[in-house]
Amino acid sequence: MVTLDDIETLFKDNYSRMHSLASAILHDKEAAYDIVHDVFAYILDGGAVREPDTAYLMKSVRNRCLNRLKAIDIRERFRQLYLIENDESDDLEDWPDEDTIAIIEQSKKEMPPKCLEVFSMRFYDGLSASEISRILGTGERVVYKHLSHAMNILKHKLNG
Amino acid sequence: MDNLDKLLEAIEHPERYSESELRDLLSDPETNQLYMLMCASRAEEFLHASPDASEVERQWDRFKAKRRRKSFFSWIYNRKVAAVAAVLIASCSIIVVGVSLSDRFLGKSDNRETHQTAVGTTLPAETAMQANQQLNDTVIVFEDEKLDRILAEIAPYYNVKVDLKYPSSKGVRLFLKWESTTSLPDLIEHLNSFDRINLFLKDDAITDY
Repeated sequence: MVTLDDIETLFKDNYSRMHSLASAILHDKEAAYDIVHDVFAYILDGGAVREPDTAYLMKSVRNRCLNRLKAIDIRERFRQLYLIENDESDDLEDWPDEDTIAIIEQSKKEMPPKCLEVFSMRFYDGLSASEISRILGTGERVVYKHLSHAMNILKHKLNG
Repeated sequence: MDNLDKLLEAIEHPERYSESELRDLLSDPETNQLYMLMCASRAEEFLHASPDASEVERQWDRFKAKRRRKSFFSWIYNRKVAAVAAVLIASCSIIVVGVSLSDRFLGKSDNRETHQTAVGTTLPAETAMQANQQLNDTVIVFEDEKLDRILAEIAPYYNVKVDLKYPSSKGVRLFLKWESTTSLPDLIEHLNSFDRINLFLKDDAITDY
């Protein structure tokens, strides 16, 4: 039977990574705490058939997060830019992978200042196009234009 | 309107689309790739904010405290349930013996044991509560068995169907000890921890993606 002492090292060695992943998928640091705790509680309750390692822990976090997202209406998932499972879901195995993050960072360096500002407000601050247009005092069409330009830079970088 | 423009509009005004329209939009590989990039961009902010060492220690202490509270209440609960179960068994024992004797007299067989079917071993009863529970619990041990066969065997306990679409998941072989007291969400979550298995429940059927 697994005890608290048995998993202490596992917990402390993996907690940060697990929490970061859960936060990234759910966009919610508080919910991420619960997800990570649930994974370790499951192990302590004898749920893990095999010896839990980092890969097992990360997959457990990912699956719990994705299960939580499935309960959300797809329209709301679109609005919040949550992951949506489909036939391409094999790609979720390592999502978000370091290469994709690196490409996003490189692409941001190539975006013109206004384009970068709109991109950041939309995807980092989570503001809607109408909110951005109101804050910047510009039309929504202009906001869409900047976002379209930003996504084309990203796509071009990703596909070489 | 090209797919990127449609996607940008869909994330701003998803209420203008039906579920199937949104799924159709993502069925295009290029559009899906763009959507994934948007999700990764949105997620990046959270990736940079990892808990530091002191926060990890704080979370460990919080987790330990929760577990100890849970163990204490579970101990109290089990003592109460065991006491109640012992009283019930004692008071029902005369009736059970009476029924059993009359069944044998009339030639009926006791079929409670058929609830316990196992490829492996039946768990021994150590307390009165466990002995009583054992009549209703089933434990099945699957050794190196394919996922589709495992699900075909245990799905009836949950009153669900099985609808696996992908050969890659159907053929995964597992060693699994399953107990009928396991809830369906917990079972699905546990199976999803294995590589190449991605299950979910849809319309009373276990399916995969």
